[in-house]
Amino acid sequence: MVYFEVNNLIVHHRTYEGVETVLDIDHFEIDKGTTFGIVGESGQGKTVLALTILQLLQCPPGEIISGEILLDGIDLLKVSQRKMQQQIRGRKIAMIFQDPMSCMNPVFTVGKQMLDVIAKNRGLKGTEALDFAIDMLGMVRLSDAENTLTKYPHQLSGGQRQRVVIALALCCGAEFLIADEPTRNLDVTIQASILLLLKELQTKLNMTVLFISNSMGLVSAFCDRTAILSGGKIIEQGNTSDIILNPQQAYTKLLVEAASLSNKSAPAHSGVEVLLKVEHLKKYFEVSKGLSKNKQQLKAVDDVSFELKKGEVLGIVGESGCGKSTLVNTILSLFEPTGGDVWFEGQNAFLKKKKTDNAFKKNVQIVFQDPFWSLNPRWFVKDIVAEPIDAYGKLKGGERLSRVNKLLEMVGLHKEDAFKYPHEFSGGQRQRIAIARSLASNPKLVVLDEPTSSIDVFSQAQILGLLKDLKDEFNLTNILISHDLGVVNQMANKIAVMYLGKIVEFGPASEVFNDPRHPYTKALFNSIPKIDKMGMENIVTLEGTIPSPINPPSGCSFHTRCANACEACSEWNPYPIYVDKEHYVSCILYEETKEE
Amino acid sequence: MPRYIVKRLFNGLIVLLGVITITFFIARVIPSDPAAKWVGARATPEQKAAAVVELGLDQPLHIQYGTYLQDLLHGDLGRSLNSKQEITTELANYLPATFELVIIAFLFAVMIGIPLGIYSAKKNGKLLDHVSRFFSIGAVSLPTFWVGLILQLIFYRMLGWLPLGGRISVEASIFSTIPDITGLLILDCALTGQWNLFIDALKHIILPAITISLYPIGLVARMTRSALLEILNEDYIVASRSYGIRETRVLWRYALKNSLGATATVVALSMGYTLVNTFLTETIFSWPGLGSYVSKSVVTLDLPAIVGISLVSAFFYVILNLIADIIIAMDPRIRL
Amino acid sequence: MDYNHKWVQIKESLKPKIHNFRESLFLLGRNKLTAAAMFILLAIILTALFAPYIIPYPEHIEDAVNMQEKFLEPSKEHLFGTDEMGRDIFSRTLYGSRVSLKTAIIAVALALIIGVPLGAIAGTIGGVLDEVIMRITDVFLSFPPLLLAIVFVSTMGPSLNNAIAAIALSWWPWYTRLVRGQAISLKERKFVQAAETIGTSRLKIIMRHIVPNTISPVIVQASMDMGGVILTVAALSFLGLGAQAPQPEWGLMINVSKNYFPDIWWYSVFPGLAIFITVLVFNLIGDGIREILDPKTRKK
Repeated sequence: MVYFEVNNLIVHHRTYEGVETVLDIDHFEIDKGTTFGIVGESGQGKTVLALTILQLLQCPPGEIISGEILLDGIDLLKVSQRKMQQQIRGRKIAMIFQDPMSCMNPVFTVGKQMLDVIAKNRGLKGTEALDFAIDMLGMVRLSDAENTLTKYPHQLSGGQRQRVVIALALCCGAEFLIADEPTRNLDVTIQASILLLLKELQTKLNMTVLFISNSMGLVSAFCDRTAILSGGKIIEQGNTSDIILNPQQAYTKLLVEAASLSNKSAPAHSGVEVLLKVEHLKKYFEVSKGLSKNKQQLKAVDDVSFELKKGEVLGIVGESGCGKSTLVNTILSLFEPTGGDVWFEGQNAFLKKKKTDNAFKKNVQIVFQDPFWSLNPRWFVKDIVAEPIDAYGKLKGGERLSRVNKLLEMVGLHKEDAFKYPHEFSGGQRQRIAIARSLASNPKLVVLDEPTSSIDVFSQAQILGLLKDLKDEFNLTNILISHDLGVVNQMANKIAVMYLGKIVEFGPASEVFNDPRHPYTKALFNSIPKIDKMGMENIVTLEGTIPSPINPPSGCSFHTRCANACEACSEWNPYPIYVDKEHYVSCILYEETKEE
Repeated sequence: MPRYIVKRLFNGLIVLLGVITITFFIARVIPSDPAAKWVGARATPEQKAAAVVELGLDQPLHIQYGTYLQDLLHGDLGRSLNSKQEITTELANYLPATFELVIIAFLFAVMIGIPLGIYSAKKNGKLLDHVSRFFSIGAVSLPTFWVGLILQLIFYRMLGWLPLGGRISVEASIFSTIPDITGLLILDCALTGQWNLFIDALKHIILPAITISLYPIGLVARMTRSALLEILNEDYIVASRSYGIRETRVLWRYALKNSLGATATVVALSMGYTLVNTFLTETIFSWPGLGSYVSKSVVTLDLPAIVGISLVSAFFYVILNLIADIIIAMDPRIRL
Repeated sequence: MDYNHKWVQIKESLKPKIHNFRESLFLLGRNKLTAAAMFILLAIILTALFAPYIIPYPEHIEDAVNMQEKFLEPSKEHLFGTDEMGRDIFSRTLYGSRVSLKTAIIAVALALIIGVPLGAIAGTIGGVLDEVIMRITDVFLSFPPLLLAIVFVSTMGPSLNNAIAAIALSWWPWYTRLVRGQAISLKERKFVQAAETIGTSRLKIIMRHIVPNTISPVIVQASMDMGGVILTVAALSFLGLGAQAPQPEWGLMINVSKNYFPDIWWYSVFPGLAIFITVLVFNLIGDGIREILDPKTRKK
């Protein structure tokens, strides 16, 4: 039975710069009690759709040109704002927003916000309302509900906040739920638990869910049917399994491709020459808590050691706050190390002798995440690309320009682009400029810090291809940081898994991916929805949240969330146990689990 | 929370000390002959010599500074060149009239500025918003002293509704005894039940109060509008709407509480601006307050008086800052 | 540690973020009110530039005396009437734009000369130097504006030049704050970090990456401040602390006129109107800039 339907919806966006069509949807429908996924990247109109359904779109600049949105036979676009507020919003449709921090009012307690919603939609007051709120918090599996009610949003963790937001939506009692990227900005392990919770509630309450997401993986786990949104248009829709197994549009194929997790990188072929050696590297930050004077140490990188051979690509993975960016920045001397050494081609990179320092900087370059901010907006592309040349070389005039042209060609740009400013390029092209710059000084090691996470999937695939080609052509060694395991999968032939400032597992990519040994690595990989195993059954998740790196747990820092943990784990510091020559695991229980 | 306030208080003290230091430098160090400046142009050489001793100008700078601070601590701001009175006493005489004006202007700023800002945020982009935008920008673009004149022209000369200036009419001051309890004339009249005088005083205060309040009204309306607009665009407001919360409730209960910090700060600080605008306005309306005192002192270059007024004003400014700080601190987001 | 001046925060929260100057100018013209303001500003600037050639009575600018024509009401010959010395108020008001704009520009330029380098030093070098400079700006900012100027001019003696110096003295901390904030946020930008990893020298990073990127916000801020500065100049002159007779300065004209008020109403009304329109035009443009640069009202 069709419960919700959108027909011929056209929405414009009017600004100083002109009119733009942000939504142009012919038709889609959702049956009662089913889940419908809408997949698309940011800027494709997903959130506009959600807000249009609720009639909460800002007009102006928004402008609804035509169409109908039918909920149970009622055209929402014809309902007055007043009636929307009294009868539809909350009562019939509830929404879960992407960012739980920004969608909760920071100056009211959780309790106050919940009671307001309950009073409006359930007509309950006083202790009745309070009991109801506590029930709802129980529904979303928040322990200590009474205490949570008295807290302000900023006092909760990301996962807890998203649970409260779901509870708020449940308080409304709507049968139709719009979930707008409900797990965005959450770490993968938290994401998995939220996803499981949503699925459980959906089945239990027989809700109809419109699930908006930017990842095929999430939709494949959650949704019965799926539509792909691109440029405001639905370019493909159907059963989720059909779309994944047999995508028709090129864009859909790319989305599916980006979400698949099979390791494609070549095995660690490389030679034996060690290029980079990191020994017991430590980086602690002093943090003062509030106004008090006593500083505490935040152990962002805590005793990390590894070797990187020439020609290898090392992927560093881990959840936010695990220290992967700090590790790289410390290796690059952007941060002063607290302890330990870095050796590059046998030279100590931290020795501040002018000569060695220069050689190290010249040989190690970085490509940053966001190509918008990593290029000086006031410089010509030619000067941006030539910056490393100017820093070391003496190339002048024509020679300098021809070198720049060559670099631009190498990354797939044109000679003419040399005399343009960065803002004239798209995100993907800007990232190419950044890559050209990183190659200008003929480096041996290029660090890639989330190189594709702020560009669209089209460019993403191309940039990854380019990076692979360049690596082979110049025999580069790479360190790749990414929260996106798919990207790491495509590029890396060595993997380092980090948790709370430490490397918990290190080894060849194929081995780590196919046969993870450390319980954290296993949990990390299992909490990611995989499109080749659809449905929620295969998602396993971790309990609890990541402890603060200011006061990490004693012994093995993972023991608070580890299913296998025993008493010894909280007392003994784990040490690397070698699975084979190049693969180690930091877990004292490893030997035992292997024997079992 | 108390810890935070203590910290702010401490900061305020440091700033006050800085202010004192700057006035010290401007009055005593920068001029080539500070004693001459201090006693004025018509002083005899004996007076000047006395000033040199009194100010300790024959002593090294740090000792001068020490005496300066000590005098201030005892509330000694020196003597006026014009009246030869203690400046502290004179200020105490002039202060209530100015205070009365500032309070009324403050009430206007809050009662007109905030609703205007809220309304214009609510009607964002509509005609009323444009009118209010133009009004707010116009209000902060007006030269205060000129507005005073124009208002006099309209309401005194053309319409004859309101008096030209002063705090109370001459007849009233001759035929009745003027009450003096708090120093705030309107309040005193009300307290003693002299309603004729009360109305007379009210008529006198309307024009100067409007003149002074234009600037804060414009500023407060503008800031309230932009603070509210920012907040009304926040996700949590959209979220509240999506739960079906009433729009009036969203605006008045949710958004307004969030914008309270910004609004309160603007109100408090625009009063600091108002203080100086008061000086200009009082001269126009012959209002017997600090402003008249300032312009008298400025004309005769009565330096001790000017420095004294500056210090007192800066002191109030710092206090207003402190109040704004405390209001901001009530936001739970700021961890104390 | 830091005395967070709320006024500064609020003013800074309104600070525009400029990416492309030409594009912004174009957008500015599309708001009708702002476009009208820009048009009037252009007229004011032209008047100021060519005042000596366009005013009907150039000889009335300073101390021409023509007692039989004093206090004439506005008429065809004297659009704004005449003053106590029989001078044409229309001529003097038009010429006043020259005085006001010139003083305002010099005052802002002086404030920039003091404020910008201090801000760049504080922002790029940081540490103790930063602390000291910032505390000094705090103190200056905690004087009610105008008051510092009054104290300064009273000490140094009333004159237009001292008024300019006084305004610069109370205005520079804003620019120090602005440039410092810019420099600090630029230091966090990835292209500066990239330059560091590349090995570009420290001096070159400051000169080529940081300084050029602070210039446009400073120019925008300075032009938005013009209205306030003109108002302050007028206020000082009104108190007798700025321009001195017989200079044709608006504030001074109103100061003299109030002795003959309200009978000779035109003497006060027109110079004041000139101040109002000039300041209004600057403020409208400033507000327009703010509006179009507000990321919420535009879309990339």
